[in-house]
Amino acid sequence: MSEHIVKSYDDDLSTLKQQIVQMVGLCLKQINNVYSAIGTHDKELSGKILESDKKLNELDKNITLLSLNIMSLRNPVAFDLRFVFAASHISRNLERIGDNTINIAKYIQQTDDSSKSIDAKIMQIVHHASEMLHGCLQALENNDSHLAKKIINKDLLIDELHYEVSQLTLSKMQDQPSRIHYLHSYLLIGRYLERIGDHIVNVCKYLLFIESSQLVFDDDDPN
Amino acid sequence: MSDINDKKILIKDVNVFYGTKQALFDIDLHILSQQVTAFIGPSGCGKSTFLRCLNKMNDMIDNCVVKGSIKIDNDEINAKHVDPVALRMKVGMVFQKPNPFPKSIFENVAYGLKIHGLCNNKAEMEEIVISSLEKVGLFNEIKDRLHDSALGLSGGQQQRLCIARTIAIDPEIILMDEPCSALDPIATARIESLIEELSIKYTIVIVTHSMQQAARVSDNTAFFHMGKIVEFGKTSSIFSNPKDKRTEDYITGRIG
Repeated sequence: MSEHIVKSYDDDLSTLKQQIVQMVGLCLKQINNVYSAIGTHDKELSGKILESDKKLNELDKNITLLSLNIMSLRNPVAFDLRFVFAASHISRNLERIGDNTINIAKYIQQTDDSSKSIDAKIMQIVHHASEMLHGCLQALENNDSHLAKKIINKDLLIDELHYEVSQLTLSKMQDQPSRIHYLHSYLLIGRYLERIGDHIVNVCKYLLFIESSQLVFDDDDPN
Repeated sequence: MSDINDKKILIKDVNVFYGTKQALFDIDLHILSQQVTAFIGPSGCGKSTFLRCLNKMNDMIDNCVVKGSIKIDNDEINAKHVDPVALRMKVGMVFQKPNPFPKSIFENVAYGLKIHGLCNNKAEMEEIVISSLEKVGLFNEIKDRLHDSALGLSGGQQQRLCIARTIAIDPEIILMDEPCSALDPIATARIESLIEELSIKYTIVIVTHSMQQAARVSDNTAFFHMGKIVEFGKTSSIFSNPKDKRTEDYITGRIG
């Protein structure tokens, strides 16, 4: 895309993009910390996740305000309009990913290392979510709508794994009713991860919108 | 009067020359009936030249030659037998700068009616003048000074008076060449609202430098660049998802 005649307009759009990239990076870090915390049941690490959400919230606020400013002062159209419109939606979804990692961290603190098979499945989901988010970063940096579409389709695997975690946890609950208090955390962790998958899909839908102007809603097929 | 969505004006292979310099190249376009069509593009791109082709105003420029076909309701306006005066009764025009005659408000609106002999008596003329002033939302503002000079009106009022003068002779098409460029935002909003109301009855073609104005008032937009139409389509898609990079660069304020 060539440069605007008004240079400060380019500066605003570039700041917006940098802040989104920064948010995706922070979400990736949060998710990778979740991965380590589940593998090690490290209470200190899950405590760190709880603390690092503040920066995501701050960036979400900045992006929302900057988008609003650009809309009111620069009257964006075409690509610029789609980008600014999408930016505030993307940042809201990334902020929600951050919230979900916090919820997960809280419940990791209530688990122990006696359910290795569930831990392994959960780690599979986290690994998958991390890959999807990493793909988002590439799609964002390279304006790659094909990649965004591919990532949307990958969410099915998270849904399947989430179902498997639920089934595995429920069957363990039946076998070990005395551990229900610990095991129910896994049901919630699975649910929050499934939501993270949905938010990544939403991010990709807006990346797709920026490039192709195609708005994909929940029941639509992006293909 | 044509039905809505009919092709009111059909333009084919129009080329315009000012002496040896070609200003428009192979223009093909259709203007839909009872809709607002906006022409946008950088200065010198040919949009005003093309607008003037639609009521043969270019005939008044000595070295200007218009080639190609322009049909209004299937009638070729470039045919030799077409009387430009009769054509301009059907295709009215509003200019960039309000240009009221140095006469009274009433006389300004009545002028076209008189020279074309469109009224049988004074009462009928009065009725048309008042209803035209009402249609442009001016009557209540000036009803006590109908016989005062039109030059005493504000710029926005003068432009609405010019529109009233245009619609008094009941044209089918109204051409507007940057009608708000000399007006403040309030007067501009009044004219834009008027364009919206008028499009129920009239086919409107507007040239504007304000992209926001084109986006606000028009149903269809044509983007002109270096004498050619680069893109033509629904205004909503031109401004949200233009197909041509040149259109995108122009409307987003980028260097092409």
